[in-house]
Amino acid sequence: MKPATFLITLINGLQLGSVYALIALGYTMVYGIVKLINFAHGDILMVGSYVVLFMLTTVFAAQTLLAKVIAVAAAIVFCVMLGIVIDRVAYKPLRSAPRISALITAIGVSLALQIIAQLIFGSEQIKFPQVILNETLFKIDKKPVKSLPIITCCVSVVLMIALNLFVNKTKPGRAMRAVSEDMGAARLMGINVNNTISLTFAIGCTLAAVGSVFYAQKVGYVKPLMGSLPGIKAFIAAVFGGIGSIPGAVLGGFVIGMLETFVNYFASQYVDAVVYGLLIVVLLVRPAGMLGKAVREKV
Amino acid sequence: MKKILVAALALVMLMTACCAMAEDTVKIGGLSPLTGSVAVYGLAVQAGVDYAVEEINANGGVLGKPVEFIWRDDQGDPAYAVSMYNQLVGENIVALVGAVTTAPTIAVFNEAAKTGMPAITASASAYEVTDPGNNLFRACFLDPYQAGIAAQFCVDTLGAKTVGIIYDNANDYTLGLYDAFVAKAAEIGLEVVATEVGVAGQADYSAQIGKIADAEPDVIYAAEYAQELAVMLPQMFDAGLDETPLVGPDGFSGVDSQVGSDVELLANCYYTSAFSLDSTGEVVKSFIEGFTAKTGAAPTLFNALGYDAMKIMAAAIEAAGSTEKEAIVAALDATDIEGATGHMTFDDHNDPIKSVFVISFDEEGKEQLETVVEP
Amino acid sequence: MVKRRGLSSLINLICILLLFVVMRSAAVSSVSLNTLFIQIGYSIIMATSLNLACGYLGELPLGHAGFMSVGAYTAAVLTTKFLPQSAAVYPFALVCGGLMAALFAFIIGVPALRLKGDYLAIVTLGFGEIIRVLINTVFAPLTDGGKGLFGIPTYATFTDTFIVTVLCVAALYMIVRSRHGRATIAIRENDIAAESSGVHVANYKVKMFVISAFFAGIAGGIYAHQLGVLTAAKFDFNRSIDYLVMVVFGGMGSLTGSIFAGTALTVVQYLMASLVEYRQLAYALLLIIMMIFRPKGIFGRWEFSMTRLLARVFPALNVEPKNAEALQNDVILPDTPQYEVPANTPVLRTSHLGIRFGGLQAADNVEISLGAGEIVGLIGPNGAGKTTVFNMLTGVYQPTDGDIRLLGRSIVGMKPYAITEAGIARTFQNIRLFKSMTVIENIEVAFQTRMHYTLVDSLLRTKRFRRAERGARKRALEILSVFGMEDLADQSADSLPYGMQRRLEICRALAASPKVLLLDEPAAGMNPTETHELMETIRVIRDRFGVTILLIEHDMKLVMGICERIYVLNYGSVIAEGTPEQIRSNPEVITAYLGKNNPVNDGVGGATC
Repeated sequence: MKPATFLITLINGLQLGSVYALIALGYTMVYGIVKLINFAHGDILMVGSYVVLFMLTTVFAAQTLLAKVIAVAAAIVFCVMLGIVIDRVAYKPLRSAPRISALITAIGVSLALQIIAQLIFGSEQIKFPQVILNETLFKIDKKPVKSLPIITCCVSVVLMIALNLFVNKTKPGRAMRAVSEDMGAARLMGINVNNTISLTFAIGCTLAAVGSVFYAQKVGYVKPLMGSLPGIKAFIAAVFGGIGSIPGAVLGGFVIGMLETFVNYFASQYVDAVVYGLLIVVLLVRPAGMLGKAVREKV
Repeated sequence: MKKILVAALALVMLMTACCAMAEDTVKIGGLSPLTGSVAVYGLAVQAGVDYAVEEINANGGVLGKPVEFIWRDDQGDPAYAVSMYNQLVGENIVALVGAVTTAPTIAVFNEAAKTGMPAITASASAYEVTDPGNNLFRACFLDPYQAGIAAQFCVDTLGAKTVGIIYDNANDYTLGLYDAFVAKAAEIGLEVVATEVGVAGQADYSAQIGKIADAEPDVIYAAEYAQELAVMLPQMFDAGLDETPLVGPDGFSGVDSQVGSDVELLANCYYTSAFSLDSTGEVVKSFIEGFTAKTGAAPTLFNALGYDAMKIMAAAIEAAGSTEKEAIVAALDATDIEGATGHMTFDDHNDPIKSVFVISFDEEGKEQLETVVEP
Repeated sequence: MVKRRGLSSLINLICILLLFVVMRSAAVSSVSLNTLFIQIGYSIIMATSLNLACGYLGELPLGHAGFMSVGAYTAAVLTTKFLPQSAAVYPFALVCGGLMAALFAFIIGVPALRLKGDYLAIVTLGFGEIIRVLINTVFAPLTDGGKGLFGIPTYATFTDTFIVTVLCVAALYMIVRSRHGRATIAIRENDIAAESSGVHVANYKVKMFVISAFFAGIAGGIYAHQLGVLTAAKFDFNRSIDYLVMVVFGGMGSLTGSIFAGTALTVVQYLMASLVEYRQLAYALLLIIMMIFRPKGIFGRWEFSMTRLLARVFPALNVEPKNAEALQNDVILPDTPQYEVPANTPVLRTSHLGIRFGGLQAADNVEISLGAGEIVGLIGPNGAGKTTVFNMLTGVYQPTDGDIRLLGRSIVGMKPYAITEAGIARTFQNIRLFKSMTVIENIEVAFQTRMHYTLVDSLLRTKRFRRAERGARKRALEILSVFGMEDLADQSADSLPYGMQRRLEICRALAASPKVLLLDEPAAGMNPTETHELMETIRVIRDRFGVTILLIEHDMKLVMGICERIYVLNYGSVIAEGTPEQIRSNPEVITAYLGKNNPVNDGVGGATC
């Protein structure tokens, strides 16, 4: 591996990893609070990128900076609302039902979002407009280092730090932690559990919407099924890091992203086998994930 | 008793009415993935077939009756395809146009072979597709054929000595191309310096591309579809491969509409195809004009293949003079037709023999004909 | 109730034959239906087998399609490349496919089934993905890789698919309705209680997972030989989800539900074929609405029985077997081991027993000794470590120091199920019944280590199976009658009032035929009358079953009333031991309960007031 290629691969790995981490945070927060594997989360990413696409191609004629900012804001607002509505309509009635029923509902929601997107936009992939500056910063060995990966990483890290501060230092953050620890007790302490859950979905969807811009621009195209692959990888990342743990999701996202990128370099035909194999090994050695806490059941 | 008699009579009349109605049209069934991950190709073939049906019916149909075309969605799934095929059989179709992707087509052709149903696939290009019976045909050429021509093109026209390959190992089509390309490359002394796998649907191929770039090949062969190619192209530029020619199969068709305004990405792209917008044949020209007028977009290879498959089938039924299976199959065997993808006859394996176009792109990103390789 | 087994089997056989004749004539008349029926057949096998792992065992496998692919490829590679071209080899290939899938499940299951809940789900998901990559790369010389395996002989016909489906479903039903099935359901309901009742949880999990995969492999074989072509890409996550949807839709823990959903969803997909996108949208909405309004699926855990239905229509079928009396005595009762108590050795004795959780010494140097037939109390303030001691005695926790000797033999390091088998049974502070099971089934689970018929016996419903099952029921009713609960035998356990649930837990513990019975707060939540009755019952149990009893209790009336000796635990150590009178006046005990400078000195009994 040439040094320049190594550097570029490293940057690409970090870029993919930070997108995974952003999505994984949504998985892990929702799981932490309602113990639901929200399979529709990857499709929120898809919805976010279609909203940006729609705003920039249909609503605004010119892709000015202002238009781009409004488009991204619209994607965030739309995803947040969608996330909350999905939770209220599809998941809330199932809070006390067997967890697998809620899981099936999530799969139903995921399917529905994909098909609705296909009905509106068609199944063909559509070119995604440039939202974030992607200029060549400098060249090493004729290979350009672009700004998009750097911006992706920086914005993601800032968001993750902000999220961590929010969860640990603010009152709503404390309420979230309390609800995830014991929903019943939190309710008795006067916490509005439903609002807290909505807030969790809102934060998860915000991160997914931001992630969608980075992801769609990295791929360059959007299509109705685009959410499932990063969705499942991010979910794996969340489990890898210890589901329910915010630093775990970040760690997991970066590890999976880097691993995938480097295995693609060295043995591209085995990439999924290696990623999932590592996941299995990690779970066998550390059943609660890298940073998850093993809970001993009281007898 | 009287009531029963009346009811029975009514039933008989209804049935005769139904049968009479059924004979007013020639029913042909179509199978295609209209939903799911390969729906892009399914919908493209469907558009081509639909256009052909429209044209045929406008010209008086076949055997003096209009063609009634019945679509079923196979979702790209073999099990589902067989089920849908049987549904079509239940609708009394006289011939099948479909399926589109290889595995469903093979599964359906296995069934079709049992009853001798005349069938033609527009686009399933694996060699084994027509194996199950002599009633099975295809409108596209075989994978090894075009991959071999691509390898030859790399050496003869592009003057390449080394090649880097990226292909999808989970797909019969791309894998078939890969095998054939590698075999031909070995034969003509084209050295393969990097072989990477890029599975459909990935976000990021830059690691594999980076490895190919490290090997510094004279040319890259990408056995991939247009969707993946469109994702790969910018990543190739970012890896410093913007000067390296990129050669691919007919799966590239439609990539120009994918990349849109970023036409510089296509500057060094070439692909082998059975269809070119620059073709001069009369049939092709009228197809391109008519299709563009109807849909508002210039036809792609898959549109053209769908169109040809339908035309071949309709011509065969007309030539057979009846909707008898054996007669249609015999007529298919004797096919000698000018289509949107050139002049076509079938060989012993029911594969079409036709010319290969090498397509490149002009400065505006429009497809242009580079060369034609005659069979 | 139709009690005659032969009659019931006959009814089922006739119904299946009728169904076969009807479906067969439909399949012959229409190729379309023929294909559909075969698809329904393997969908049913997939759904019911997944239900075994999902609905009965309570795990969440997300890689069932992976096992299907292993079976499909194994069978197809055999028939295509190795075996002679003849339909006669088809059954053999199917079984090989099933066995290969079972082998993979074993390799995955042994390490992975230690994981709980969603983590196991992820490992199975990962397996499903890995197996596809392997089929396309490592196994490519056999499987033809991503190109797909073509030219597979299409052996699958309606008749053989029907037979295989019936056999698979029947086999699953036989497994579920046996001691093995009871143990499996017990694990789902409460794995800790199941282990303490003598169920080798780890073993059963792997066993059921492997069986589930075996049938998925068979279904895969049918799939391959219907289509004649295989590509690994078709066995993706979505396919696993499709079958999971069938299971949940029909009802987790209902084979009837899986059969229904496997049929209905396949037919619905077929009928809505011409709707294209709207079909999938309708399917998605159907899932959401269905789950919101019937989260337990259509059938919940209900099973259909033709015999029951007919018996309702024709009461004449309700006949007792002629030899009912004789059958009552033709039984194999669960073992009642004869415990040899060596001379001068206590039944149970701990020495220097201690456990440390990280920095916390939860128990230290605990020395307890129980003589044969004694009733001994273990008391102490909250958090003194009483339950921790129980957990060490039963193997739930592994002590970090010291030794536990049961009848002179060390039991340290043994798993809870093995300790139960060796002769210690327990109840739990927070009741851990198998809630969805009936009262009598709860007890029958605890015969696990005392019954010996094998999986094959239950599959073939051998005489041994029938005698042992009758024996189990007989013994269970005997135990219930001690508590006057025999009338409640067929009620569901969670419908019992609280006090009854506590008693049922004691019954279940006794069913394991222990030498030592550990009762963890048996009177908790009982009113004084119930507590009084309980005291009587505990004495009766000791006399009737010859057990030694160690009990944790806060109700001092009960402790002082029935215990012959009492150990007092504080901060993980024994601070006093003696007769109730000695304990009552022990100053250290009083301090432990009431604090140092408390002037009140009217006996420990006040502590809980």
